[in-house]
Amino acid sequence: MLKRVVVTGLGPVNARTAGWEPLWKLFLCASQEGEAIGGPVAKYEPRPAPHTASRSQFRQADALARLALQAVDLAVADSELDLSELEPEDVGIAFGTGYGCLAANVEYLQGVLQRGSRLGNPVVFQNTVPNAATGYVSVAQGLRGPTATFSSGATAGLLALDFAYQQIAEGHVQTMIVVSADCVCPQLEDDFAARGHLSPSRVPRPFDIERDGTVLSAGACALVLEEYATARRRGAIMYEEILATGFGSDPGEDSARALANAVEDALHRAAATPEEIGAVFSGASGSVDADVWESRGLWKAMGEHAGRVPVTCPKSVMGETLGNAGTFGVLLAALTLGSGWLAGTAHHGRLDPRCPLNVQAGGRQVQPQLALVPVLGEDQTAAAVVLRRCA
Amino acid sequence: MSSAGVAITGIGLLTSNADSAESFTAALREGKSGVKDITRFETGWSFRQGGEVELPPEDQEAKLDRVSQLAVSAARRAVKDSGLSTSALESTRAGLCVGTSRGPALSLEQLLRSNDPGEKRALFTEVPFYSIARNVAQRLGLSGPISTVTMACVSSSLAVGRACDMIRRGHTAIMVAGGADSLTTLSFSGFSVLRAMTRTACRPFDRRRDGMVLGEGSGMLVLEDLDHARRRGARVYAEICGWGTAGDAHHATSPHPQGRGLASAISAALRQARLSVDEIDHVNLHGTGTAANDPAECQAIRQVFGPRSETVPVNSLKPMIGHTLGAAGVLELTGSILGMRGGFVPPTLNYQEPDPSCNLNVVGGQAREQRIGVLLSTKSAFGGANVAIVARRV
Repeated sequence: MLKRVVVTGLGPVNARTAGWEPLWKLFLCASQEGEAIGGPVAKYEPRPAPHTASRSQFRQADALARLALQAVDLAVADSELDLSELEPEDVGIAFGTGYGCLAANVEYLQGVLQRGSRLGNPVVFQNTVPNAATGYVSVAQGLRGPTATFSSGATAGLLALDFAYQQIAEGHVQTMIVVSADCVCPQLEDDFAARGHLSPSRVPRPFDIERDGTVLSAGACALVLEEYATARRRGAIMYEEILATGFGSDPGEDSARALANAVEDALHRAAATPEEIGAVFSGASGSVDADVWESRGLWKAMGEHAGRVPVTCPKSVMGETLGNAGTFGVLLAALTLGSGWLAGTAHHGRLDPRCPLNVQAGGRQVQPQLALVPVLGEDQTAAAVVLRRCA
Repeated sequence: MSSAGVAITGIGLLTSNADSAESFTAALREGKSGVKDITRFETGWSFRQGGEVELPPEDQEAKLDRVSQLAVSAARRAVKDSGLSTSALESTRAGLCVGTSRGPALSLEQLLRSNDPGEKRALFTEVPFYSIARNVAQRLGLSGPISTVTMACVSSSLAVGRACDMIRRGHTAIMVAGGADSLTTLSFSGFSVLRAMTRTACRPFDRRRDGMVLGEGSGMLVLEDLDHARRRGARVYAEICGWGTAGDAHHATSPHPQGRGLASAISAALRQARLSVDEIDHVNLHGTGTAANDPAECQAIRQVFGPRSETVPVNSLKPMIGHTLGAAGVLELTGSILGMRGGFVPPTLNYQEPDPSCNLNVVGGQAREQRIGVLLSTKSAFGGANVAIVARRV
């Protein structure tokens, strides 16, 4: 018998906000005013727990780790969970990142190419694995439970969420920290630009007929997951319940099929019908092609309900958040399920007829019991999660 | 959720001393090392040992990063070995989980050297870590759950564990899982400036040990719901009956001196397998040959195994194939399973002078003939990550 798993802490960080309240305000304003997010995130000084040994090691944390550390600090504070009261082995961490330590790898290799193999910088080298960030967070928070790191492009955040969900659902631990993070380095930006993925207007317009690409956005998003009964006992705010995750891919060129496979898998495992989904937090970013694949995938998996269910696009406000796509979707779903208010899709003017979805331009009241967060990843991979409102 | 276990029904591998389950078994039994001087690039150091792989010409695909070529080659071999057809992989929505530590670092190095925009663009397609999974999945025609895990030296152990979970939880009946890493300037330079590399020879648990030797390679397993495997009459190498993971929460690069995370991971794996330490016949350790790693993991074994730690045979395969980083977990698990099937514990080469801080029953010198029913394979990594896997004969 699987245990129920709920989200009890939210910790988003991006270029303009830190914490869910300012982010939510930004969403409420942005959906009316149409303002996009992008750019670097201010450097964060980690605040390791008092018991932490070797506190000086945090000076060596790179930008990716600092994003993750900041997001986790926020999420843990939001959950009002006192981690020092829990057994360290009973709290684990799952980290997801799209491009991970790319910036650290570039920095290390550039040093070696300029100065030779013997003069590589050992401090930079220790950050050249994606799980370095996982390590810093686990040291800072004293997390000695299950640990995993995923570097699977845009689906990475939901893969981390799934790992964490499973640890609690199967009773291995009672609490898991999920965190995703991604930085934007020049090599990544150059590649997106060379492939024509970046919006010349610097305005992401998902599903809009005039969309012209996306805007890259660094950031991190942390979630505290707890076993339902434990969270209830301590009187925690339960933002939402995780019902099921799903995954899919397609060996050919059919990204829509991959997304459909993931959504069908998630719905099947949640024992839910498409008609029960009351809101979709789409991963569409304003990409000329991928938005069409996403729409087709939703239609394949959900039938005509895909054209009726309210759809909102967090990336219209946040830009392309890479490995954070799924976790930010889960966070926005939590705020929507809790408040009954669906923030609209910014910059949305005229729907592309090739994307016949019920895209919400302005905010509106909703009372969904179930929400869906689908993420179309790179190379015909996809993930999805079904979430339930907590009574 | 499936109540049956997870079977290994296909093995594909490339190491510096073998290119198949058969040749790996023979190499492990004979204690044949593939470690010699690296020829593919200038190390820039006075020492240049490594476990280099000779990639067969038919497996070379110039547009792929070397790590992807290694992974694709091993995955194809594993599927062929399993006897599964392409249509069987399609109809079961078979998935893939790939672990890597350094990923396609060679492509990134080439990209940074290049001034040609077209070449840079082509190279960047290979640069993300997830490109390895893409390249394997496309060539095998997989349509199930696909993911890339990156936990430094436990990457492929985590990939195997995660793939077992995807089967147990009913996402699919078949997963291809494992890992790959290639020898590159990035890893050789990095571990050298950290002073983690040996100047002499890799000697795990030996008093004279002075560091590790790097290797490269790939190992892929076809993992299958045990009932599914039995129904189709597949050869089952072993059953994976439990796995666990846990963090040290101690330091970015150094293991916890008492191996506390590893001890937790082992306990979790045994709990899932519903086995006691008395039922473990052999422990394959990480055994890097570094000053800090070896005593830490011996402490973890002593803590979990108690008095049994004095008798259970342990070993490290790294002197034979080098530290293959993200591929180490799956390759060393595979080697141990092949030893289990052959009735022997592979030797820890170069182990001659026992270190009192590593006072376990280390199998050194030559392979030890022994019946093994259940084995444990443990790995530890940067960032304080630990994974333990329990496998048994079927």
